[in-house]
Amino acid sequence: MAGASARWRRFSTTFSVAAVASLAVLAGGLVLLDPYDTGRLTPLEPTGMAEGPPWQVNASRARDPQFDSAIIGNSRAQMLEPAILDEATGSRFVNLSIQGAGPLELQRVFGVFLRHHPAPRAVIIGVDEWWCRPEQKRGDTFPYWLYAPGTVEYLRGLVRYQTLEHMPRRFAVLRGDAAMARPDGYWDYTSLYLGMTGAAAAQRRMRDGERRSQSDNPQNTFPAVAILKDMLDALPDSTRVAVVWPPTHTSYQPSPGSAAETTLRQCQAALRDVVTARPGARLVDWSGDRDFNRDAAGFHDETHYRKPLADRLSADVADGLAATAEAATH
Amino acid sequence: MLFNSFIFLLLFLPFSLLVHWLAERFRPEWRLPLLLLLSFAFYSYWDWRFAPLLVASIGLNWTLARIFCQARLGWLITLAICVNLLVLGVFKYAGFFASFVPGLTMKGVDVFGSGDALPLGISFFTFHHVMYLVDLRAGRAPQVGLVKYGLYIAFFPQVLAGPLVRWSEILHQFDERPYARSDAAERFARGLLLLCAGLAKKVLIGDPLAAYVNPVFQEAANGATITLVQGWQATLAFTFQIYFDFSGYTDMALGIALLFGVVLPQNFETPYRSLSLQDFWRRWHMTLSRFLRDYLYIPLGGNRHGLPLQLCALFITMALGGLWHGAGMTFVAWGAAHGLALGVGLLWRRAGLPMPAALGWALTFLFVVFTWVLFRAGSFEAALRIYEGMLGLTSIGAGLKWRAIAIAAAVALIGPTAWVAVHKAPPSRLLAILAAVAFTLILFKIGDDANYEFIYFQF
Repeated sequence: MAGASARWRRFSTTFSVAAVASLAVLAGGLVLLDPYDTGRLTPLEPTGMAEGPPWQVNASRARDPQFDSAIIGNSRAQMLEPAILDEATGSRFVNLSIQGAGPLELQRVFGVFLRHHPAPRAVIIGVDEWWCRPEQKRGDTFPYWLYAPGTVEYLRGLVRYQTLEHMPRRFAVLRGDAAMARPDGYWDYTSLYLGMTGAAAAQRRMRDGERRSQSDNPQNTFPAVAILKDMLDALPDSTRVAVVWPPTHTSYQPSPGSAAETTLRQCQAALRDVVTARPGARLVDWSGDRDFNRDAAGFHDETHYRKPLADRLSADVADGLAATAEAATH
Repeated sequence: MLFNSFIFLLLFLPFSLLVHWLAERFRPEWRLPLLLLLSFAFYSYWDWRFAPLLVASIGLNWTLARIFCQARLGWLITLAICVNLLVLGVFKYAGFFASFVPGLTMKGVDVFGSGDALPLGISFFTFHHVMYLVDLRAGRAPQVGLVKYGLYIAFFPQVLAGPLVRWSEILHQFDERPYARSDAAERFARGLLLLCAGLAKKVLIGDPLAAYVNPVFQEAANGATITLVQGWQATLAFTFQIYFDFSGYTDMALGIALLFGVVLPQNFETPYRSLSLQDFWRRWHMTLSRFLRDYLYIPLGGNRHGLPLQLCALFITMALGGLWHGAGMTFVAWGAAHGLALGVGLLWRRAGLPMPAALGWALTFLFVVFTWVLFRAGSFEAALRIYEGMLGLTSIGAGLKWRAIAIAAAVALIGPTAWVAVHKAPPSRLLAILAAVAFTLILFKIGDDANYEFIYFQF
């Protein structure tokens, strides 16, 4: 019996030691190998990331010292091309757009960029209807931990199976045989849209769809406006800012005179107030009932515009930034 | 806190084991107060506003029991049981019963400022009170001190979702020096294995099935048409999800209790291998079945007053058992369906009709699967959408997701219970290392965003 007891004691000891050791090895390994190239707690030099979805890559892009300016937004800012902006402004832009990201998520991405670039030359922030919602809740899919300001939240988030599954790609990067992600974050997703099954339905909706008239925020309270203000307040005075409301097909715009339109207009006015109150900032608003927004050919769907329109928008945003710079020098 | 959380597995449990070991070794008289304190801390972590309810519930019941023991006033026990059921009724069923009164709406009782949230474990600890009080009045249960009674109710491995423990199964264990037993090391090691097995069942088998279940039932709740493929995929997946979720939780509870030197009763015995519905209820949530039998079915007359009364007692017991699971008519219907089917089974046996084992298994399994729809759907409309799909009244559909179902079915139907497997395990070092590595990988799975609460926490 004493022998059996000793064997079971040894079993529990072995279990405990092996559990602590395996957790330490795996978690410690993840911290050191820095799977998403965040630069936190690792002795490794920046490596860049293998090709992957923007949420996975942008924590690395946001700390890349070759850039001095950033585009913060969701899929509706993804088509703004850094090369066009660079040429027109003399800055070096990185596009940090993440699909499906709302104000709270964008604030996190912005925070990472700002920690690594305390005095950016220019920042472009994409806003849309999401910023007009009555409340701002955390989304389920965005990895808040990867863009966390605190180390504890980052470490807690790092211990997850998805990170282990990602490690083969990290090893490929470290070995130097991975297909690397574009450093500037530009992604022309036209080919993705062309292959999507809903493309024809989107064109039909844009042609025949009824505009919405009911407001989803009848109280017209816009908590995200404070988020934008916080983001602008965090920037040094020298940073030029463009807040961009992207093109929106008219079928997605609210019906004229409706409660939905009142909400949208009040929200846009509140955002504009915050932007105009900051020197060196400009609102570039491409929404509304305008020629290019009536042309379905310019859009993949109601809210995602195609490259020709994107390039025009990029040029206009660059002009806006140049104008703010000029105003600052006079 | 959840058993499947970092805070519990990496902080609360190791800390509790350490201080419990120190107390057991150097200050045995501190062991039970310490366990009670840890249990309150565990319970409060979820929502501290409900901790006073648990403390008050223990204090009131213990006081009434003590007065009863001195004054022998039987009505005191009746009063105590009524108060317990009233508290449960107010928190859990106020909205449900109000819905039967035209013009009256009560969403739930917001006593502690937490909205209409249900105090966790209230269904379970209410039944613990009832078991003790009924047996105390009958002269079966002893009078116990406040700390021991508090621990009987609030012992953290079982306070939230059982198993439903009889006082006679646990009170005597509180008097022991668990780490002084000759089999203490074996118990502890098997507790570790059982915890790992429960975590694996919940995290690796049960949780992945949620992705097969939730979207379909959500579509049904939205009134969408459900295809044959969707209906069967969601219902079969839920059949195994709830088993691995709840039995996984129970394995963890049993394993954690063993780490603290306490043996809790088993709750599952490969229920999906049952050859009859009666057999199923002897293998599924066994401690609840036992409670319903001893404290509801037998007091209602049981099988001692003729067949008609027995059938009535069976039906009422199961319908109330259904209601216990949730404040909704779908739960009552689920229980009632089981009550009716158990009655049919009783008549079949009484008539001496044969039932081949294979046919008995198939009928039982299909019946259980079909009735899980009522349990999961949330409304009769949603259940009807699922039934329409399962019965082929809509379209066939495509894209059956079956892999996780097949794995779960194989483990549920072929494999031994975790309890049996763990108790056959040898004290080998290799097994300890494999279990530890599995434990670590499960921790990483828990770290993923798709980490689910236990289904039975809502009851």
